[in-house]
Amino acid sequence: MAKFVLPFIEGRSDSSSFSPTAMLVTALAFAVIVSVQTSPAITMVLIAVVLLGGTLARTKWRSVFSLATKLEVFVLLWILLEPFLYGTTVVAVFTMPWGPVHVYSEGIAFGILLGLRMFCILLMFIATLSHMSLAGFIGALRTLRVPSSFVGSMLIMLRYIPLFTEERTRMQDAQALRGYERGVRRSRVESLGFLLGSMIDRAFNRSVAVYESMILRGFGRGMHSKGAGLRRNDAALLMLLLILVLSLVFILPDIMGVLVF
Amino acid sequence: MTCAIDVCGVYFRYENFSMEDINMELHIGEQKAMVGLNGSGKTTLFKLLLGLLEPTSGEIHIMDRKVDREGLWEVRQNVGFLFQNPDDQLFSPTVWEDVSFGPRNLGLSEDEIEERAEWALSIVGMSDFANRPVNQMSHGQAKRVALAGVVAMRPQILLLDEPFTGLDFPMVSGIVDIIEELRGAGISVLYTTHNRFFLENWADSVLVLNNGRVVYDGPIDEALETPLVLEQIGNWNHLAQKMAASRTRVREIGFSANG
Repeated sequence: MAKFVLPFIEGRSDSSSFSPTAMLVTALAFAVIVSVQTSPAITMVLIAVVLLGGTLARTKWRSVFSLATKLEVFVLLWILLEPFLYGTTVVAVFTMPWGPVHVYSEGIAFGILLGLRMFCILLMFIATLSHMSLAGFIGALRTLRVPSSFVGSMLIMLRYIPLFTEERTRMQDAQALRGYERGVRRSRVESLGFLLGSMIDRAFNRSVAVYESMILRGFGRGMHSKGAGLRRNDAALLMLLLILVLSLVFILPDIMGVLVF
Repeated sequence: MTCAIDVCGVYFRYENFSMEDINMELHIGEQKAMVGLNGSGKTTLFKLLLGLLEPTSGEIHIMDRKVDREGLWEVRQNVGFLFQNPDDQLFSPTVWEDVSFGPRNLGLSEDEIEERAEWALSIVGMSDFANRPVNQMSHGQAKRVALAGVVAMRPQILLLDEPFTGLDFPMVSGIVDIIEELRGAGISVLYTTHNRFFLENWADSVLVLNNGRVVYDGPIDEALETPLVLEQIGNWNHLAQKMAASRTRVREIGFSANG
């Protein structure tokens, strides 16, 4: 059976104390806080906050980390590329056939900072989404007045990416059953190209069918979908966020200063 | 008003396919089968009825309302369409969300939406699946949910594209029961099938298409005696004879099911 791409709670009901809207807003606010950090140490503290908060909220870390690992390549890309692209202080030089390649200390520091920030935000969002259902997520987007065209497109994307993955697997199985072996790299690439072409073709046909199905039931006349209203407990999330911001401004820099000296 | 659907002199041309001089009527409460070989125009006719395609000429009326751009939403509120593949129809996160999608777009109140979705799910026997994600169901269950999504709109006419394809006997029987219950409430049904069983035993009348043209529209009994119609339905008796002859021949050369 196909699964949704993101680690939502399966089904409609979620037993979280907080509303999906409040969780999403908190995650967004947290992401903003993380993205303005200039110290790797404080960013690591924020990662620890995410891990601690998630553990207290009984986050299923296995599924969160499993998905985070799949997206890790984008984080690593920054960490690995930045030392070659940014800075003035050369710490190492590699001689390549096309000329010397410099590694800059500022780039290393910046790459690590960027990597930590991205990892923290990624972890935060995946953990947050794992505490809400897809219906709750869509409802939260609607409450936040995200345009219905965007919400509709996202809904279809989340629904159909797993279906395309299933179709790809079926096509690969069909190839294998007829004696095709993806041994040689070239044939692997050729096979992938063929599969991709077929999948795009099928995806187009399916998207037309889905769109027809939607407009036959009233889509396009202004999509009406239920929002996810706020709950009383949401005030606690706001308080926690406020405490975090105040700590970052007034308390944490002093603690870090003491630790450094 | 006696016609749920009235198609009058419809022509439609698209690339190298055309439908010519299509005339048909579906009376209120009637159940009509639509048959024809692959590529004969069945799906195109469905799309014309639903206003997804626009006729080159001619007129289509649904419950006395002309199918044109102005009246499209009114028409679509009266016609429910069940896709052959439920994966094409179910897109919401959960069964409940999908079934309530149509009523929500009708602008009903939350209570009415809930009432309709509960009613539709109970009719198809899927009330216990309300919170289930739509991607975690068997083909038969998905088909039932898709049907619930359609009937939740409370349409006057049901268009069913191969409603029994890929379903086992209990599921087929279940779908028949559901449709029969809806017919009891006066709903008119137009369905496509390639299966002679569902044609002979379930339809009041039959519309036969061949290469974009209506070659027969009338009672089922007469249809089964018309050679041109039999060509389109398929000569299943002839196929059965051929299979029997083949089985006899194989046995004669020494193979039997017992080894």
